[in-house]
Amino acid sequence: MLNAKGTTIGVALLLLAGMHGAQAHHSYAMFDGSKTLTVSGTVAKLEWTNPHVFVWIYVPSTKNPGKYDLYAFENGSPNAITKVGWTRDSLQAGDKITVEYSPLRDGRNGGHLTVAKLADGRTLGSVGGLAAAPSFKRPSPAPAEQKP
Amino acid sequence: MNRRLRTLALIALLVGSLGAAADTPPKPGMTWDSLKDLPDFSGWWNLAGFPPLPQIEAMKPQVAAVLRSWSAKTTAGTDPADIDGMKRSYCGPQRFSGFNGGFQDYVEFLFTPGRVTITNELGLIRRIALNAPKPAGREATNTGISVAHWEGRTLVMETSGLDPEMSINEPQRRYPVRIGRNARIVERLSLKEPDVLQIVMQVTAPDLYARPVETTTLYHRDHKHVFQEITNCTANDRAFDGATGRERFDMTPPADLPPPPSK
Repeated sequence: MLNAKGTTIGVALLLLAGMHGAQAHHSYAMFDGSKTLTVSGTVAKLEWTNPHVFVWIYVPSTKNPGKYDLYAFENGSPNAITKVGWTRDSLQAGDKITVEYSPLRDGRNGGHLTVAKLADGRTLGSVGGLAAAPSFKRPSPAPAEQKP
Repeated sequence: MNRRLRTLALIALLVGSLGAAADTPPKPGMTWDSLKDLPDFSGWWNLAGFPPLPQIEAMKPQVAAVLRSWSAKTTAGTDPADIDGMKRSYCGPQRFSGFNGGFQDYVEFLFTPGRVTITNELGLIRRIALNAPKPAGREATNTGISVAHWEGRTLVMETSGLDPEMSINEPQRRYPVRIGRNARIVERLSLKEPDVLQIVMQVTAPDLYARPVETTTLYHRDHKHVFQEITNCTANDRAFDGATGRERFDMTPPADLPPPPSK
């Protein structure tokens, strides 16, 4: 059982996640932040747009061998993810990629991106929304932790 | 004393008064020259750490209960619109309820004689009069009425006249909790290090908080940052249905999506 302090901290964490969601535009209720799934595939498109950048990838279908499923992953805004190393040229169509993400609650193929790993060894993270969840692991120091 | 002598005496008195006024140094920040002697807040500032959190432990119990319940439900997956019935609009004006920005965006502090202006890349503009009396009888607004003065190397800003309907987490109006009537925000800005700006903020909001709350927020100066506007006012936003006020995850593929890889 949580004591009063534990409850306060728990609520603060919920608020923190929610607050960052708001800063990043919405509540993130559509994502299951308690789960982290991983898929590997081929980059179809990096949709570099406000208020959210989307990463589209083709993933070999497990149900239909020889076919691909299209996955969509939301990330923060261009401004936000630029702070952790993304650029509009970070991904090119055809790049091999592995994505860790918090899945959509409705079961569709996609979710909120937490970490993207490229074949060349690059690792790119997320800012905003679920990046504030306690389970989120930043791949590199957050901007706030970097000395100017 | 004849008329001529009286005139000369009056002129002498006026010249003397002007001379005395010229000898009085202007208050800090009131002239271009005096700005040079003040701390250097120029450039773009990036939030260090997290924005100031809503201080739930300082809230009035009934307000805190609403917020706790709402947070638990959204975290469990309920759409906010189904909890509080609020149709949210993500394309509203930027507002100030205690956070100048810097999470996704960058913030700048501009100084001109008698005036401080705070802006961020989301479009917030706060106009703060220096060494000026607080004007009375104004309408409550999105950024309130702000006045400021220098206390040594610290800029002290006081804001009131905020729209009581403003959420505690503007600009998104996402929380069903308002800042309420007669809110007053005092910010004390100073350089903790040459490139570290500290804002100590005290919020008094009698409808929301049982007592004044104080937070400290730090910003790092980014000498390399180049201005990049950010907007949530985007047509066809995949994450939000502006017609219903509900959130969504629109998976309509981009029109220019290339075909799947060939085997």
